[in-house]
Amino acid sequence: MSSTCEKPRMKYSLHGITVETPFPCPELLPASGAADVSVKWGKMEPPAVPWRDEGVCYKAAPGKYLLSVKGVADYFVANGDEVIIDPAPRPDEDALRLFFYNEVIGALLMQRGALLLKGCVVERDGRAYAFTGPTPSGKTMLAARLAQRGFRIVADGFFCLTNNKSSGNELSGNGTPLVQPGYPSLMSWEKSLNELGISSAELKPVRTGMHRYYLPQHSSFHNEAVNLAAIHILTSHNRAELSIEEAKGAEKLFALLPHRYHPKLAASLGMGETQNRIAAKLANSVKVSIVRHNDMLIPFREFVERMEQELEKTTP
Amino acid sequence: MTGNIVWIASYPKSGNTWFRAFITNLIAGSGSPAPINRLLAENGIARSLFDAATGIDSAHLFPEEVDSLRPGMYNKISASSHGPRFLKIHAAYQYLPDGHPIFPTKATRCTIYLARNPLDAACSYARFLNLGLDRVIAKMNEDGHVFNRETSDMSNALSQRIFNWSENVLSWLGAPADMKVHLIRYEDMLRNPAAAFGQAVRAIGLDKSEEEILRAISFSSFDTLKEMEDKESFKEKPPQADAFFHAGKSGGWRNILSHAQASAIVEKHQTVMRRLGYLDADGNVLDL
Repeated sequence: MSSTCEKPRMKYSLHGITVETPFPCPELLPASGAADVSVKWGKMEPPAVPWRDEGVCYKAAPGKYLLSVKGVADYFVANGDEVIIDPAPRPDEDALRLFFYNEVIGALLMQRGALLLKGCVVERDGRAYAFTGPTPSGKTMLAARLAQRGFRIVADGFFCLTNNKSSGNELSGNGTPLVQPGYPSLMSWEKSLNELGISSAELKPVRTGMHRYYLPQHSSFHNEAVNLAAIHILTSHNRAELSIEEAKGAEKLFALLPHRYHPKLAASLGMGETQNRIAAKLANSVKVSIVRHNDMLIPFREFVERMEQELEKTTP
Repeated sequence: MTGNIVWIASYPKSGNTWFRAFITNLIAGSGSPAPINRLLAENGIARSLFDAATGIDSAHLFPEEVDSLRPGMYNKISASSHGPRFLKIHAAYQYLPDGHPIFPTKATRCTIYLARNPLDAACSYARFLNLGLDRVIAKMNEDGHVFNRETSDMSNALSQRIFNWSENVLSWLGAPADMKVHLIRYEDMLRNPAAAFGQAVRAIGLDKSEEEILRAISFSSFDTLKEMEDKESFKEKPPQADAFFHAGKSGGWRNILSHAQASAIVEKHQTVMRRLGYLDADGNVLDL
């Protein structure tokens, strides 16, 4: 990956948008047609912007976002359609893409008016089921096991919904939320892979030397927007029982809001109100359940079976 | 100019949760005990705090990268707080390879360091972790011990270097003066709570009356906390432990530890135990 050589630009799809990049992204699906987002190499001059929020590694203002990852790159995102990357000398290319796929694309989707929730989404028979909750709470591992049992993966890390039709992610006319496909991989820790009976020997680490891997899902990836039928909020408690409690009324919204992806960032980007409106619409149109479990006290197999039964209940 | 963070620092099982319950009741000023599942003082190494302050998912970083960003994280937390912000910490006071402290003085209002006789702490820690005493004593004696060093999995807390018991105590007592470390012994909290907690309140700089302090002490008594745990469960109890609040006393080690186990602790930590008044000049363990 070099900022000095002109290379062919490539197009990929993720989260319902098409990005055109100057570097290959082997973890993403190739796309064609007009790009929604242009990604370029560039020297980063500190933008003269009155930042609304300055975190340790980011700065944000309406329409502007700057992420600085020491030793990797500075990323500047503008207006939901432009990304400029100023790489560090000899950066770890895997690391450069990892932050691009997650923190950077996350901020970009927020700029485009998306609601992002932490977690992952699986699909079966045209209906999508989301798992959100604190990190870690077993979301990805559950999705990986369900993929082994016939479900298809829609998104991992975060999933996004939006009212903004221009973004490609939209709420359908009847108010039933649509989730757009992320990219065809789960990110799984080695210990989880062991639990799933998968060897990491042939898998690519998300960063060189890290014991966290891309678990490709090409054959079980659902590359279309789907209706979201239910959201399960996975939380851990210290009892040897698995409880599933359906939230009702306003509880649904209050249960979902803490699990937004970088919730303060949306407000700093001037998109807090937009996200709140989408969240309210989401809460009004899907089943929301709070799942309390403990992976030390409840066998993983039992947890998966209970969750699969629960998902079947929400299938018409 | 000082920061807003009040560090409630200690080696594990040395009265940290008890002190947090006291502070919660003191700040709440309510006519009834504060619920144990809503204690003030977040875990200072919670991933959620790190992710929010840095804007980066800590799962995307190596432990040394995480550590390098922690001073900035605490400065950000301090700057965004209005008034004292209590953070619980079990890690030792330590420095990054570049010489900067992980816990920046700029972010610090003061530090309450809680110490407990390591013989009793070992017994409590073994129950908490549901581990054999010998394994727990090995942890307490291990130089540079790191808690949660696993790199093939992720917990809700960042990796933290607790070090051995003596190293933990000495690290905080040897911290720069601007950390304003106020030492409290667990045994003094038991023996004379009004004095021990009252001094802590003054060290933090909270404007509270004696009556308010006594009420907070009463609402955070061992019996009250234990009763609440029995009724509603305590979310901080590890799943493998039978209870979080067990005895709340000092000297219980005499009925639990073998002579060899007690000797292993005393031999390793005698210098610091003597400094804190847990050993007399002849090496005898004192009942406080």
